[in-house]
Amino acid sequence: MTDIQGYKGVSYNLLSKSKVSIGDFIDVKTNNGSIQGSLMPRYEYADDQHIVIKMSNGYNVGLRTKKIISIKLITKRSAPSFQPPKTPKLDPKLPKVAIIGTGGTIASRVDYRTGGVHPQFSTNELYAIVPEIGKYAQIHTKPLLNIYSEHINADHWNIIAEKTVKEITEGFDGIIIAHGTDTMGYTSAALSFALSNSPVPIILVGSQRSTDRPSSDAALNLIGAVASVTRIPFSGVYVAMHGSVNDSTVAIHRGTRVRKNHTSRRDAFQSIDVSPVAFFKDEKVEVLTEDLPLKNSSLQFKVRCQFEKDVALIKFYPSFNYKLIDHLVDSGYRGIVFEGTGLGHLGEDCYQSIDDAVKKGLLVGMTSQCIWGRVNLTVYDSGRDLLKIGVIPLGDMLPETALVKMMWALGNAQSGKEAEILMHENIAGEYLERSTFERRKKYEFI
Amino acid sequence: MSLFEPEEIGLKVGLEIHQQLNTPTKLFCRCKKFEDSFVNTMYRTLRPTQSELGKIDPAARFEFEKNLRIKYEIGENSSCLVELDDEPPHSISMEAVKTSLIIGLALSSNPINELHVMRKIVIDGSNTTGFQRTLVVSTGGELKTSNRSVPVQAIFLEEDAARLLGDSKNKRNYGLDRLGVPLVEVALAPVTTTPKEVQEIAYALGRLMRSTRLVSRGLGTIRQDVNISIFDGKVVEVKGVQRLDLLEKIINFEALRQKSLINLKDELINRGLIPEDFQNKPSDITALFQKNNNTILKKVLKKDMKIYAVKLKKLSGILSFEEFSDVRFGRELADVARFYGISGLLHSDEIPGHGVTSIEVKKIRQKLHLNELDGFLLLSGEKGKLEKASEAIQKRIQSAFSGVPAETRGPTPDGKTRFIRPRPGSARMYPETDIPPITISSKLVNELKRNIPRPWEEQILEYISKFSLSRKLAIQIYDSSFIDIFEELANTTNVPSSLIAATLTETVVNLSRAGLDTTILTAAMVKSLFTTLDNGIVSKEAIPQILELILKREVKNVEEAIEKIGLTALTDNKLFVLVKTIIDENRELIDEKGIASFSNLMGQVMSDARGRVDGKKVSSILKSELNKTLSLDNK
Ligand SMILES: [Zn+2]
Repeated sequence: MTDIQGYKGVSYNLLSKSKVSIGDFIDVKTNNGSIQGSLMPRYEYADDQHIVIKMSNGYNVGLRTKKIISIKLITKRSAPSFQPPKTPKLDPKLPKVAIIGTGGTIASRVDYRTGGVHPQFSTNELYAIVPEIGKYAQIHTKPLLNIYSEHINADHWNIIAEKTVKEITEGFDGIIIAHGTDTMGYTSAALSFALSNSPVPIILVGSQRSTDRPSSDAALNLIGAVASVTRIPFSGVYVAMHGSVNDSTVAIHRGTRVRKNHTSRRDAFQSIDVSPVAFFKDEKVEVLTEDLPLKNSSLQFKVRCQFEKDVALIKFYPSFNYKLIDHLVDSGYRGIVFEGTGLGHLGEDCYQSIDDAVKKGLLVGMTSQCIWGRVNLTVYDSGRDLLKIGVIPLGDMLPETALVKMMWALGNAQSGKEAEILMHENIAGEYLERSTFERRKKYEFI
Repeated sequence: MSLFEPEEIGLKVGLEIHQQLNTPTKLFCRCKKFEDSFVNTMYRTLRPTQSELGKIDPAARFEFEKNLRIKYEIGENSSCLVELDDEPPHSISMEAVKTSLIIGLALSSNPINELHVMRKIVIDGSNTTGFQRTLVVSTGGELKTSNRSVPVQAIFLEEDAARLLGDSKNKRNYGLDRLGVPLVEVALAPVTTTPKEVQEIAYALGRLMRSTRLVSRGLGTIRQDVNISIFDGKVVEVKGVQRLDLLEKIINFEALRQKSLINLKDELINRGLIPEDFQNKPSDITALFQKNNNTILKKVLKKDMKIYAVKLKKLSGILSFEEFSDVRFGRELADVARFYGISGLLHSDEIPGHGVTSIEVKKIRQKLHLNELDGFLLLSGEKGKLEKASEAIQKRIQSAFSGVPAETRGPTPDGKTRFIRPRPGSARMYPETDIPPITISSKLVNELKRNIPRPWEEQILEYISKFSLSRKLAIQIYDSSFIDIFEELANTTNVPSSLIAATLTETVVNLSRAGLDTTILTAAMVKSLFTTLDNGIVSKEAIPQILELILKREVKNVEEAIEKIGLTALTDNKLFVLVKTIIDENRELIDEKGIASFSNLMGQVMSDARGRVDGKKVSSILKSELNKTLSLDNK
C-alpha cells in the first residue's frame, strides 16, 4: 500500500508503480541526471505532471514526470519520534481561565519534513508554546469545534454559547474563545446578546498572521486576552486583537462595537465610534472606561441563545433592484437589515416592496453603510417616508451587529412585536448614546 | 611567503555568492525602490516556531530569550504591507526568475521543472516574517575560470534581508528598504584551492553575472559567504564578505586560525586533559572585588552585577598563547561570552593586570583551589547571563578537543574573522504555502538559452574598440554601477567616451578616497553634467570641482554647482572681448616683446577663464588676436 497524498493522474500512476510513499527517501533518475530526496505530499489543486521531493539541503523541487526515467526507493520513511510536552505546574493562587477552541489557530507546530502545519490545542501544548500565559491564570483548554470562521453559522453560535455557559457554571473566572478572524465580530455580537450580564468576562481572540510563522500575532493576542480576562472588572463579551502594527499592544474591544476593517493587517479590528475598553501593554492591563456593567454584579445572567437564520443584511446601491426584497419576502424571510446610504436612505422604488414586507410581518431595520456615525430618518423626506412605512432606525448600531441582533431577537422573542421591542432595547452596548469626536485616532498606539 | 602550504593542511573552500538583481520590482511585491529614506517606524518581536520534535534551535532560542525588541524603519516608496508582514506576498517577480535562470544556464546548470518557494527560519529580525523566502532554480553546472573549472552545486533565488542599521543590548534596528530585493545565490562546491585562486574564482563569477547586464553593480550589491575547512576540522562559514579584494586575506587568516586550533587540540591531549574536565560550576566572587579600582569592574559592581570565576584545569599559558598573529584561544572564549551578552571577560594569562591586583589573583586562586597549572576566567555581568555564558564557554573548550568547531564567523575590515554565532542546526525549511509552485516550461528554457550573455572578455574587447577605451578603463567602466548611463552618454553626446569613462571611474574613485560619499551621485546628475559639457556651458576642467561640490552636499545639482563656482562658460563673444581687453592693457609688454609676450598673456587670460572654456580655444583666439595687433602695429 502506498501513501501518496495529493497526487493524481500521471504522477499518481508513476509513484504507485514505483511503490514509494510520502516521506520515503528516493532516487529519481531524469534525463538531466539523478536527484535524491524525500517524497513530499502534493497540494490538491496542483497539476499531475510533477512530483515534489525535498533535497537534503531542505529545498523542495518539482520534477516533471515526462523527464523521469526511474524512481528507486532508498530508505523507507522513519516514524517521527514525537516528544509530548510536560504537564505544566499550575499556580493555585491564580484565577482559572477556560480557553474554548472553535478552529481559530492560536498555536501550532511545523513539521519540517513534510511542511505540514499542525494546530495545537491541548493545555500542555499551549503552555509549552506560549509559556507566558501561566503568569496570569491557570489555563484549561476546552476543544469544541474545528472549523474555519467563514463556515461558522448561527447553529455554531448556539453551540459556543451553551459551552460558555457550562464553563462559567463550572466555576471559571474568565472564558476565552479562540476563533478565526473573518467572522469573529459576528460571533462576538451573537454571544453579547445570548449571554447578557455574564458573571465573568468572555474574550474572543484570533490571529491575522498564521501561527506557523515566527512573526505571528497569535501569541501576543492570546497573552493579552488571558491577562485581560483576569483583570478587567467588567461583565460582557470582548475581542482581543493587536492594537497597532507593533507587537506591543493588545486592544480589548466591546463585542458589539468591533469590526474587522482590514483584510490582512494585524490591527484590522477596530472599535467603531468608541474607544476600546482596555489595552494590554508591557504585562499590564490599562482599563479606559468606567461605564460598563461590573462582573459578578446582582444583574441577572440571561441566557437566550436561539437565532433565526432567515434574516438578511442588504447593502443598498445605485440601481438596486427592489425585486431582491420581494424575493426575500416570498422566500419566507423574517427580517431584513439594510445598510442604507448616508443617514439611512434607500431609493424610492424600494418603498412599495418594503411596505409589503412590513405588512407581511417582517422586521425591517436601517443601519448605514458609512460604518461610522448613526442613522437619522427624520432629517430628510426619504427618511421620514421609510419611518412611516415602519422601518426601524437602528441608531449607530453596526450593520453586522444589527443583523446578528435581529436574528437573535426573532430567535428568542415570542412575537414580532416583542422582537421589535428587543431591537430598540440596548442589550449589550450595541447602541451608544453619544457620538464623541475623533475617537478613531486612539488606534495610533505604539 | 605563506605560513602554510594549502595542500599540506588540506584547505578546502566553497564560495556562495549573493548578487542583487536590478529587476524593476522586489521579489514578492511591486515596490520599485531598493534604497530609501525612512518616515515611519514599527516594533516587532519574533518567537521561534515549534517543530514537530518540540526542539528549538539553540541559537534561535537564545535570540528569543534576549527578548529583543526589533525596530523597523519604513520608507514610503521602498516598502509596502508585504515588507511589514501585514499582507501576504504577491506573485513572484518573473523577471527575477528569468534572470536567475539565465545566470544558471550561463553556468550550464539544469533548471528545475517546477519551482517551490520555501521559508527558511531566521529569527534575528532581519526578516519581518521570521523567515527568508528562497527557492532553488537550478542544480549542477560548472564555472570555468582562465585556469580551472569549479563545480556548481545549485543556483538559488531569494529575498534580501532588511538592512541592519544598529544593534545594541536589547534593541536592534533594521531598514525595510532592502528587504525583499531579489538576490541570486550561486553556491559553488568546496574545492581544494589556494586563497589567491579563490579570489580569482570570485572575480570570474562576479563578471559572469555582470555580463548578463541584469544585476545591480557597486558596493553592497554583491556579498559572499565563504565555507572554509582544513584536514581534521569542521567547516567554518565566514558570512557577508562585501569586498572581494579581502577574500585572499580572510582565507589566509582563517586557515591559520584553524591550523592553530588543531595544534591546540594536540596540546590539550598532551596535557592529559579530557572534555569532561570542563563542566565546572562558576563561583560568585563579587565580594572579593568590593574595593577594586578597576574601572571596568567598578562599573559592573555599581550596576549590581556579579563577577564569576570559572576554573580551567591545566589551561595556564594556553589562553594567551599566540602561534599566529592575532589568533589566541582567550579571544575565542571572549567571543563566545560576547554572544551570550557578557562583554567583561578576563583570563588568568592576562591578570594580574587590567586593574586586577596580584593579591586578588591569589585570593581567587585560593577560593577556586587552583594549582599552578590551572587557569581561570573572570566573567562579569548579570547573574542569569553569567550562568549561560559560563556553560557556553566551557562547551567551547570541550569542542576544542575535536579541533575546529563548526561556527559562523564574520569578516573584520582588516581581513580577519570574528565569531558571530554557533552554526545553526540543519536548516529549518518548510514550504511557503502563500505562493503556488511555478512551472518552468521547456519552451521558456529554450527562450532563455538565447539570452545567455556573450562571455565577459568578449564584451570587454567590444568596449575597447567601440568606445576607444584603454583595456583598464573599459574594465573599470564595465564593472561600475555607471555602465548604463555611460553607454547612453557615449552614444548620444560628442563628449569623448574616454573622458566620460575616466570621470565615472577614476575621478569618482579619487573623490571617494578623499572621504566623500559617492553613492549619492545619481545617473540624472551624471547625465546633466555631461550634457552641460556637451553644450559648451562648462569646460572639462570644471568637472572635478562640480562633482566635489555635489558630493560634499553643498549643492543639490549640477546647475547649482555651476552657479556657485561662477562657472558659466565664456561664449566665443565674451572670450573675444576678454582677450581684447588683456591685449589693450598690455600694450607696452607687447610692443617690447612682440610674439614672445604670448605665454604671459595666455596666463592672464586663463586666470580669468579657467574652467569656463577650453585652453586650446583660448590659445588659438589669443594667437590670432595677438598676430592681428602686431601686424597692425607694423603697419
Ligand atoms: Zn513592497
